[in-house]
Amino acid sequence: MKPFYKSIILGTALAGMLSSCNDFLTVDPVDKLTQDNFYTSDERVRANTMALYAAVTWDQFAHDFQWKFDMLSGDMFYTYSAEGQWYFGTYTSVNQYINQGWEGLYNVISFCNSVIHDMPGKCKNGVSDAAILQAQAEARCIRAYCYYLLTEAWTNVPVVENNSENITANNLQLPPATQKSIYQFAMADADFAVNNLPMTDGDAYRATRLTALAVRAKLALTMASHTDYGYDRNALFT
Amino acid sequence: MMTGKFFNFRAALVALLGLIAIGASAQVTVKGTVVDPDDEPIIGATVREDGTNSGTSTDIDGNFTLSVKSGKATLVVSYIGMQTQKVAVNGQSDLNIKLKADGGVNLDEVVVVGYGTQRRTDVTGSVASLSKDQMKESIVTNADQMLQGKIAGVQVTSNSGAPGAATSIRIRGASSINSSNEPLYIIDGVQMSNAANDIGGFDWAGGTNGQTKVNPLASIAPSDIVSIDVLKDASACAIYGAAGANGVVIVTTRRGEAGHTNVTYDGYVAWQKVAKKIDMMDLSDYARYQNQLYAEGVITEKQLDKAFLDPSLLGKGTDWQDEIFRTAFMQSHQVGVSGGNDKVTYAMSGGWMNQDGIIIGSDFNRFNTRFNLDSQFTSWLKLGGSLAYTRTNEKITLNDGSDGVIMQAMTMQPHVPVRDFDGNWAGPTTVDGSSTWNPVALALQKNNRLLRQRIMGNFYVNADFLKYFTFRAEYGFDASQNQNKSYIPRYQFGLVSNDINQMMHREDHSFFWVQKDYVTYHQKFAQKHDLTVMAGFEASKSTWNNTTLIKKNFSSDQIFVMTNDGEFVSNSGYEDSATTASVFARANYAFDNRYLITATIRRDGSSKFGPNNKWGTFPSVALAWRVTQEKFMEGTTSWLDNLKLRLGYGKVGNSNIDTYRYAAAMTAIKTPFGTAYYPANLANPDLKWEASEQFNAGIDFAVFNNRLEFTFDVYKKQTDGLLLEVFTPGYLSGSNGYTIRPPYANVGKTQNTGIDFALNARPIVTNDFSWRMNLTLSHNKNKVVSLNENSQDMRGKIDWYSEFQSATLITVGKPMGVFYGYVTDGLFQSADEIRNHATQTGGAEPYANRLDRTSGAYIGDIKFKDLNDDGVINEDDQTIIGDPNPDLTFGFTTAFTYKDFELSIGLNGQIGGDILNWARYKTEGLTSIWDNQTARALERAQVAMIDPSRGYDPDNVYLVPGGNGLPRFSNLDGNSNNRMSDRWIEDGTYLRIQNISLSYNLPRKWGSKVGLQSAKIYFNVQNVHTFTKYKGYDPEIGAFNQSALLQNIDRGRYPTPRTFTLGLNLSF
Repeated sequence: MKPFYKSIILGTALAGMLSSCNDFLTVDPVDKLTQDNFYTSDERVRANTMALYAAVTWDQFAHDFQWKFDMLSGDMFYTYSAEGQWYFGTYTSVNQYINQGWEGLYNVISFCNSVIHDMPGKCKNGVSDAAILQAQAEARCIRAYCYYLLTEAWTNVPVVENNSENITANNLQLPPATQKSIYQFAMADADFAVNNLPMTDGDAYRATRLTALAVRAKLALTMASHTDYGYDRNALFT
Repeated sequence: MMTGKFFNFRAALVALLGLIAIGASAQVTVKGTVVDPDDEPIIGATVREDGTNSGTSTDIDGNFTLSVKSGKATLVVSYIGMQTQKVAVNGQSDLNIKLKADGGVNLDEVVVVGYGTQRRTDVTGSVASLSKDQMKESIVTNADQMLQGKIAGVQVTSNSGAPGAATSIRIRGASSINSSNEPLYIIDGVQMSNAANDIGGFDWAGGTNGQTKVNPLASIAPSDIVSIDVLKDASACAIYGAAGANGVVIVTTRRGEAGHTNVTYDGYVAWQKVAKKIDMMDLSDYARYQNQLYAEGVITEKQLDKAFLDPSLLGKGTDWQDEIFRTAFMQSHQVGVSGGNDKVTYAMSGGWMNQDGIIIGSDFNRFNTRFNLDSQFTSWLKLGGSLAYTRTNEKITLNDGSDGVIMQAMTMQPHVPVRDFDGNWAGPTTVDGSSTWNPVALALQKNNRLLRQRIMGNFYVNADFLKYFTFRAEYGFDASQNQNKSYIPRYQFGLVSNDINQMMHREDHSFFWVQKDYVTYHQKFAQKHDLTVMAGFEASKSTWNNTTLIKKNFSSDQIFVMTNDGEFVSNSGYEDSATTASVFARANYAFDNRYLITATIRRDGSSKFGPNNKWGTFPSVALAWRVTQEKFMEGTTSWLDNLKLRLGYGKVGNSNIDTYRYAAAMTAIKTPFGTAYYPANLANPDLKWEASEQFNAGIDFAVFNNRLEFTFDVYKKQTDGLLLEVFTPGYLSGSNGYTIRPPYANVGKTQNTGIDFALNARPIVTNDFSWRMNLTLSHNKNKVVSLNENSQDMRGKIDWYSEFQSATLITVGKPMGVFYGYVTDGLFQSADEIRNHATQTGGAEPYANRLDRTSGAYIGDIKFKDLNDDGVINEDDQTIIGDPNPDLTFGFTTAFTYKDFELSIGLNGQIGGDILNWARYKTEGLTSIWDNQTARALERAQVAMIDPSRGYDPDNVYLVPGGNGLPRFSNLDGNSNNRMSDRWIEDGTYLRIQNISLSYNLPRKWGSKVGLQSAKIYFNVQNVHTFTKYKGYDPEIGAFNQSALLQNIDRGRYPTPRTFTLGLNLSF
């Protein structure tokens, strides 16, 4: 056979081997759904936002920290070891529950940010714009609540708006923002939620317009009580 | 003309036939006798024709008859315990061959280097081998324990003294933070699969988990192993590419040899005991302690047991350590048959071993079989394979945690009996306190049973063609089926009870296959140039799956099978696979046996890496100069046998990470509303290999007829692109279970530099008496060079049930896994001292300690150093307080042989290396009024009043002299005496007499009457004594689940036993 034909045959054989080689080296998970092929319908988007309400998402905050507020205010009596230090007010910086509360709340915020920023880009054709908008509004409602709690407990805390962007840009050191600006950030989230959430929803647990109004009200009252921050009180009460 | 042609043709044919005839009839018959150094005939010695598989064995008079190809043939004569001899026939027909006793060095010694073998003299990289004698020195359950203290640069520590427990092996230090640091194991050319090495642990039922990694080498019977070669530096490991970063351990199992059929029996019985007990309080001590607490006002009159009022009336009470430890029996029996003829050789083995653990309720047993076959199908085609089946069954108790058997036994009060008068399990007299399990019941009832079945096989075809080429194709597989069950029964220990029983059943299945093909070319040109080139490719795939089921509320506590009884709690499962494909090549060139160069290159692709970086390239080059072969060294050949200088450089990789890290899967969580999904992590399509770049320089030196040899290596390992989760502050990504994890990225660099030194000496070698020694020294300096944020640090966490969550640190500029905490500065002696000291009791106000006996700091509490002088003791006053990495590890063995007796002594140890004795946090924590404490607690800090009428006012007390440095008893620990500090850090320097072994070889004369080729009976004591200042059970701790972040943390580790063994090796 002429050498030219030989090299074509050899070349195709090699190319075939190489491409099948790369196929051989591509293994997708068979026991999980992947982010790239998950968002195919509105139901799927709602399954994603369902995670915002799951006990495990809030667990670190709810299980380990939230009730320390009750101990501090004298509502709960428990005096032993590290938890007992909250009753006495003798907790030091090594008390592990401080970190639990901190990370717990920021964990919920990271879920919210994922819904707001990461989810829309991965949605396929079967997802309606209305579903995406509602999802983002739910997330912002919850985010507002989380920042409210953070600033009430720790006063000046970093504002994390988009986790993926921070990490990809390697912008990891965020300075603490002032309480004054955090309230405003949370208020912007609450306003968005009020404007974009439906009045009712088929799922009883989801944030609706009423939830957003409640969050906004709580925030507005707190902001109004801070005469030192000089907010426009009229704007708060619209 | 025609006649001429015809004539020519016929002549040629005749000539050809003649040649064949000559060739055929040139079969020469050689006869001879083989004798030993005492001129006694050797029965069953193997006599082979060199270069063929044709052989025979000597008869009862030592005579043999063999047909060889020609008078120029060479015979190879071998026998157990004798030096193999090559004898040229040289036309002789009757030979008298006298063998010499073994103990010499075989210059043709061959080492396995991966995809081939090399003569030791030609090796350019850093390769160490375990000799047969060294392998027999220790009584081991699993093969990895054989390496302990024997090879320089290889640090082996047992993670637990439980039977069959896993070890952590570090070849030249740990470099990886998240990926495994264990070396690659190659068994007969097939890499050992990493799948199916975990158990379900214990935390599914609540409580701590214990270690969950089990030993993958449990499926290799140590007696099947004939040699172990360890590739230490990159130039030797680069041929394994992305899997070679942590070093390679090559295990070769026994194969048959033509000639005499050899039947062997290796067996032993052993008794194991715990080597050391902790001095805990006995009943009268405990009573005295309780009286002290009552006098201090810590416990009320109601809480004080009236039986304690007069300690002199009390006996010893229950010694819980005695109750959980026992003298445990162990036995092993292995039978092997090997033999064959010039066409087919085989080796078969089967055996059974059973080891009870020194803690009741733990054991390990193994049934193993193996069959190897090699067939010289034609003169140029060889086929063969091996098949092994192993079945191990172990009972694992819970340890390494506050609710583990050891910790519970130490803290359980001595006035609680094991059983009450009715014969039921007894418990503490109050439900308070942390000692909740009856330790004996805990050991017997709460365990993980693991049944593992493993089949490993490999098959090869080896073809010689075109004179200089060899082609080899191999297919190997490794299939595992594991069944893990755990059962928590209903129980009642006195007042402590549990009426919900639970059971977990877990199945793991995996299958791994590898296929490789490679061609080797070897030719010698013009006597001076020796060239070997090898090239090939390889593909492998590993698949694994798991199903776990948990149920509770079974109607009976006697059935440990998942039937339809009971209520469903949860189930989980997973399935995954990983593939690799590689091409590789190696060239060895030797000029005049003096200058050697080896170069390798390998390109690996793996399914675990993102589409942007699927393939990595791993080259290496090594040079060696055999100085003794130089002409100018000719004057030294009388005393200098070997001087070789080596230099090597290579790049290897570590790809032992989880699958699909470059993209995000959706995690499903069950909520009352349905199943919710969120992305498990952020994606990183650029994910690639951890690349380790290594430099190695070494000297091999041997003098006095190889009676003294040493090897010295200096190395530097830099691992770059460490696969770490991008390290983020807590506000960007959390650390607990349900979070969107940051992506994995190749950030981070670590470095290991060090030296290995190995010395082998045979100072005395005479006919009757000989003495040999072996010394290894290793020094390794480990450092984290960079993480993705140099100011960040990674913390290693201890279990949830301990007050301090983080104990170790990985931070830039320091070794991995250093201990991090506060620094102590003695005890508070007076109230004014507390007032003037930086604030330790909480809050940010400087010098504002809460001075209170119950809820704050008080005389007798620990003073912590204010390192930054800001008046407040907080996180900024923490510093590095210890380093678990030892400064020097060493091993020393010496053996004396007198006629048929041999005495060998082995030592090993380390200098430096700190240990976090977390167990003392429970046994000397001085916060619980119920827990038993160590006897040292009786001399803790106690106060006495100056003016009895003023009571315990802080200005009215002083510290009673004669304390041993322990702080005062403080129920609430307002001063956080128990925070992570150097109080818990101890020096882990130790010297252990690891083995003392006495053996006797039956003289051949007596044995040959029953056909015995050799018989050896031996007595061995293992873990004879450990010299150390460490207060815990055992200074050898290892790493928790082999993690580099959790080294040397003693959380109630199962101690390594002291073993007394009596064994017998027979060979027919």
